[in-house]
Amino acid sequence: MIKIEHLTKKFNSFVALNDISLHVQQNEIYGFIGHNGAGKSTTMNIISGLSKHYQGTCVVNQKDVSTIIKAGDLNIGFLPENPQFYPWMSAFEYLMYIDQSKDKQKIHQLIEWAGLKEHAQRKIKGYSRGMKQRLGMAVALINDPELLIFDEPSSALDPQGRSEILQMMIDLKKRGKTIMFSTHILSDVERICDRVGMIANGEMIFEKSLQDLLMENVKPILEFELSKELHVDHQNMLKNVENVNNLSIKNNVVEVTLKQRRPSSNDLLKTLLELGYEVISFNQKRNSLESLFIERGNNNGR
Amino acid sequence: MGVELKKEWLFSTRSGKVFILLMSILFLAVLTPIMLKAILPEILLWQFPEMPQASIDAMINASQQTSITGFLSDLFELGLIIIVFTLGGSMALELSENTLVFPLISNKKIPHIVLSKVVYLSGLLALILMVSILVNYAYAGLLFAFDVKLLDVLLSGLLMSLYFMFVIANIIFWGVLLKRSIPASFMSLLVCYLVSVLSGLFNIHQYTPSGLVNYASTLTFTRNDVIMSVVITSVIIIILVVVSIKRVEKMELNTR
Repeated sequence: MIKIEHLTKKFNSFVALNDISLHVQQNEIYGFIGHNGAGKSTTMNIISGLSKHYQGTCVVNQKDVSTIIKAGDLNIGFLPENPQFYPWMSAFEYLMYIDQSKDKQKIHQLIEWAGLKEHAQRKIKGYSRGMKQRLGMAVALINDPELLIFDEPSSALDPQGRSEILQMMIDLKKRGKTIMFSTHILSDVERICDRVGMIANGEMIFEKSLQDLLMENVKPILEFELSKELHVDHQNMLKNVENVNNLSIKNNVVEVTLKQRRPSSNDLLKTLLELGYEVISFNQKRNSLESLFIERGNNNGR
Repeated sequence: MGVELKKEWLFSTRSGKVFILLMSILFLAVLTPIMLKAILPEILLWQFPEMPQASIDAMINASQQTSITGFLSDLFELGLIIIVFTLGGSMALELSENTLVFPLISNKKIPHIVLSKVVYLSGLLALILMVSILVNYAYAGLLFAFDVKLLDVLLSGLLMSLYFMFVIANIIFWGVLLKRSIPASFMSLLVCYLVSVLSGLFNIHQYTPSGLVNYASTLTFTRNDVIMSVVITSVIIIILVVVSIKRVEKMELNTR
């Protein structure tokens, strides 16, 4: 659905995007992650046909973006980071204005889908941020496009608003849509994405499936609460257990980070019991993409 | 383009711009005859208490024609400021606030958006202007005497309407260029006044848009007098609109 090859975008002397390549496949949710100012919005503006004058190729829906006459020719839905409407219109009026077909039934369905049925006749200027995001998603769907581009759709929302937006994206995927969305909220990525691309300082860091990304980068953590504090000598013994990567100790709690996602808890439990510790509780966790995000983002500083 | 015109209508009425323009221009239309009939004679009498009434009347030369030409002059001097600052953000705000993003992604065309603004705002101003000029004509006629042909007044109104279309094209052009409402208003105003001053200095009114205001204010002009000014103004309007459209088409949209 989207094929970007060696894309470079400059604003005067500032290089916003430096030779990035990415691919978004049909009917997937593609998470585009990166710090603020990494180049996510610039990339999405180019994909949407709103930003011109770049080097490299950007093909969207089998159309080369550099050759289109107007942004609408790409037949995509786009939700910008700060969706701006005409605040003096109601949601119904706005959707009627945007819609080419003037199909009132379709507008009512979209309003209902966006959860704005009771507010459809209210002026948009009175809407909350979450309501505006939902209206923006309805606007993006007005021409029933196959491909949807959402720029930070959940970033400025409260947990409930975020959850609603994520659920809407899951619904859209079930309806056969392809979604590319940018975010810096990694838990959102872990929750709904099929594939992930990371950009930092205008350069593509990686692009892979969420499953591979988690397998390769996200380490399981075992947490043991002991009857007493772990002795210094015993710490080295635990570190020597196979598959243990790192230990962290806080009072009676020992956190063991494993090298790979495979069961190692039996070996660790056995060692602890042999050393004479009573295990009060045992908990299995894993670290999130957060550490990867910080590490890769910082390593790519220019 | 009908949808775009409806949007412009909704915006201008809901933002109160129609009301502001209508009231301001109507106010000028009603004020001019009152000034000539009551206020100016009182001021002169207060300044020169010994002056006989006949001399005061001769100084003011109050008539329907004086009232209409006075109103048209006021429209250029005061009305222009009101119009430019009321409508200055018409295009600039769309660009600076990124409100064009959704319409353009949803397949709306930039020429339609720009043209609808020029057509709607020019039409609105022409309507308000014609109503006001008729109010001025009728009121001045009642206060003095009906000594001007209605057709001449209507033709003057049309010339002024074309001049205001030039003003709107300017507002759109500067709005696209500067993307800010107040600077766009100032630049539009500057251009209008500068064109008028330079035309007066070099006596080239018949070749510039300000010629329309000059001829409209005389109320007595022939087709040959104004044809050059009408053609040149129309060409300038077309150029300004086309350049504005091309500029928006090449613009980076959805910028912060």
